[in-house]
Amino acid sequence: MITSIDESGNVLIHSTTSSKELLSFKINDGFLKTAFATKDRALLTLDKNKINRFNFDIKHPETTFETIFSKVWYEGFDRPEYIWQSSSGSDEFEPKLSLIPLIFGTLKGAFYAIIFAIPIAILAAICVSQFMHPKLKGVIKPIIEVMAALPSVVLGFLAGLWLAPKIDKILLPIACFPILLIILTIYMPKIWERVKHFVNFKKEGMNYLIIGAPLIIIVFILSLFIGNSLESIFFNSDFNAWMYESFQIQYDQRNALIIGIAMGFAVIPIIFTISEDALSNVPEHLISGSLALGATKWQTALKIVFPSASPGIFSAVMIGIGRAVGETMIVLMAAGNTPIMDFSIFNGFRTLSANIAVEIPEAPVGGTLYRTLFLSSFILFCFTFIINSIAEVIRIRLKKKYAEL
Amino acid sequence: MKKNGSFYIWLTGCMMALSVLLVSGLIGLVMYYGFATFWQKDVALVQLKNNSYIIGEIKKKEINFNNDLTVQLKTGNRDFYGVDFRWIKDSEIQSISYDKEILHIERDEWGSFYGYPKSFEHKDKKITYNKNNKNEFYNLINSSLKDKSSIAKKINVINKKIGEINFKLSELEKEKRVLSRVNLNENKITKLDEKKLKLLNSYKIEEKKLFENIQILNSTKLVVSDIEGATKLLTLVNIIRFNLPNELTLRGKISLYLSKIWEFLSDKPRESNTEGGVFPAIFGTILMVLIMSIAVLPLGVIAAVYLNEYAKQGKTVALIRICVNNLAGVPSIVFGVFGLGFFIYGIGGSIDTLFYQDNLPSPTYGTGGILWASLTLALLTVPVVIVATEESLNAVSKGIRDGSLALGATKWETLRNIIIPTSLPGILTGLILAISRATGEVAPLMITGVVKLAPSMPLDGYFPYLHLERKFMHLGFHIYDVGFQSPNSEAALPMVFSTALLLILIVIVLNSSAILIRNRLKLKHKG
Repeated sequence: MITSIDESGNVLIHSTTSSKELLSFKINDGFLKTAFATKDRALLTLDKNKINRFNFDIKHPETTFETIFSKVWYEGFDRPEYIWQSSSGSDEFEPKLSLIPLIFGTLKGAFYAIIFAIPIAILAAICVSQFMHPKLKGVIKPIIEVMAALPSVVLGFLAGLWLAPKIDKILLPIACFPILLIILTIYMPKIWERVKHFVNFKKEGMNYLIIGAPLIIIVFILSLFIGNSLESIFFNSDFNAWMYESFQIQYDQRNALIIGIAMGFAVIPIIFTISEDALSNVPEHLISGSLALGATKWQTALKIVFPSASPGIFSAVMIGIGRAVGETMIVLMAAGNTPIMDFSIFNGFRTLSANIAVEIPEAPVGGTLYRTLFLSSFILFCFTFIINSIAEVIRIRLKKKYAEL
Repeated sequence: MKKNGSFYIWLTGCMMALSVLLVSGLIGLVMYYGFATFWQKDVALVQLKNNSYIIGEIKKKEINFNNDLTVQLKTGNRDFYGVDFRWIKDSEIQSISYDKEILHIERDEWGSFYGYPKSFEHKDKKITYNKNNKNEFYNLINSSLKDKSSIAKKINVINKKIGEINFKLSELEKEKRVLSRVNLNENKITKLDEKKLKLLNSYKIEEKKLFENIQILNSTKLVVSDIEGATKLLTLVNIIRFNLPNELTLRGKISLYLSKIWEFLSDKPRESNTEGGVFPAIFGTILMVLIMSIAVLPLGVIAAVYLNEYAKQGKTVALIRICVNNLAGVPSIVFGVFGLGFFIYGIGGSIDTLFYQDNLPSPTYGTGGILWASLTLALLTVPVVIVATEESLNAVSKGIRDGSLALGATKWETLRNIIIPTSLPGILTGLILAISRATGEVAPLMITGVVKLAPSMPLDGYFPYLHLERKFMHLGFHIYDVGFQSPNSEAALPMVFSTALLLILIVIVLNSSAILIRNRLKLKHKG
């Protein structure tokens, strides 16, 4: 805080952080000297014959709407910036309570998780609802739904302590895996044509499991092999170091990639279940009609089932985003918790939820930090509430539409 | 190909297979590591090329950043070397053998010991170890360990007595504080002082007994040495369990494995939670879930019955339904923050100023505790119960309702005697799902009363038996704490995996039973 006094005794108090005028009052003129008490609690003035003391109690002096949501020029910085730094070792510390890095981190984590989850969940939902025997479906669906019940603390622990050190070492093979997987699926129909005559699956969809799953494992091992050889041939056996030397891309061990995968685990079953419900609730006569007109199964799925269920799939994605935004334990354990604003997939971040979990036990009750944390949980609440409401309304409309068809 | 879309169909199929693989892979991974924790591996004696020896369990082989094949050894003996693990280059290793003489001791501090025995002293009997008196030597340790368990029982009894005395003392202090505040009766205060003196005397007697017993344990001494010859004196207090890992038969290993699993489930944690068992965490989780169920069941069921049976179905009810569904999507940490602000500082703080004035400023209910944590989780899971209950109420066919009403039963009688009993399995499903969600939830608990090590259980033998204000331990938080907050996280990792496995098994069993009940119900309604 800065206090300024002019000769006629007008006192003005400003906050250095928010540049807001906190207080203005008038004292008797004719003072000789003034002093500001430490911790900004009182003003002392020396008259000819006595010392006057003015106590003031200014609540949350450094916080305004601007300091929380826009750039602030903090003491000792070159330019205005968004910074979250709530505590430090020294007493003369200026708390930096900008929520923007945390909101950024929250959205970043949710973004990568959704990117990972959407293709797997929705495609799997199409498969289970359209191309699978009902009896097999009755087995597969609960298995994927078990995923939703996995405690997030377990996912976070695995991501932070098991997956993160592993991926650190096999980054390139992991990057190869999706490419090889797509190549595999391109050749899959041809492979199937060959194999078809030797095996006989009574239930439709069994082939994906019996033949697809082992091939995926083989592709994974293959990508490990190819990735490792690529790494040793082209990148001097250390892809991460090469990345840093060539592009200045810093690789943190706990980063958005890990979060994408781990939180993807939490989001996949949600998106899967809701979109599967939407897809399999498409009225039967639409499908039969399409098939009767000579469309193939895939044409029916793409042109009839998918469009009519798309609002349901959209709401599934929304609910998935809501879950990813609010997830606490996974990001707390595997995101590194550094409040930086960098969209790189190889950097860590800190989310609103993890920030609350880390800081609220230490925050003095009723203080600025405590209230800022309550504000951030309010933001989280509003965000998820709005997203879920939209999703819910869309779902209810879809139900009505199906009932009318 | 475009027309029949076989590529796309296979794409969906592969993604389905991938997600099944992901789930089963994850569960398999946790199972593998979780069950492996308790298995006693053979202990290798590694001879290096510079002619030194290392004893340790071979954990894994890895290629390090210098492209060398390295071997990770769990060498234990933290008090000798300062660390539990060592990495050794494969190229430095001369030979690996499995010496049958190697002794493995689980201790109450400093982790495992691997090395050789030297001498043993028990009740003025002292023998020095050599290969010929091996059996006699270990039989003597075994019998002294049996003595230890009987002494440990005695110590337990004494500790209980001391706990009782401490409890009475603190009660006396409280009474005295109240009396001195009122400042009326000098006589009574002196009487209290006399009582206190008596208690202190009996305290001293018990304390002396305790020390005597510990003295007996301490007088039994085992001297061991590591491979380099550095000796260490262990007393009976230190030794939890010992074995000769390379001499164990398969049967011996299995029985050791089972006894370790039993220890894990029934014992207290040791060594800042990285060894021993998780019983307090299991107990805390179960008790919390029970209190939560007591709160959530009436709340959820009554709300659902009102919404489904009594409320006029209109826009307001539709809006409330959306809100209830939304509540399920609100992040759990937000519930935690609400619990902290409303339950702990709001209600808890007021309870303290009203009823626990004597203890202030140290809070009784104004801090995290099992009651507040359970209520927070009850709020978190109430949508699950409401949705499940409404679903099962809806499923009761109109014919049954109308039949009951036509026979002259009132709406309440129909509800109580017909509708609720028929939809009971559905309500149960909802409750099980709520319990499963609550078991796995950690974030809200972290700020409403979970601790890494609770000094006393929330349920014990002292009045009022159920201490709702106490802090408690929880399996999920145990995972977070041991995995991320413990100083020796590498050594703690097996423990974390086992705890994770236990938690996953509980949650999966709960969920599958809910799914089973639901499927039965669906069949029944169809029939």
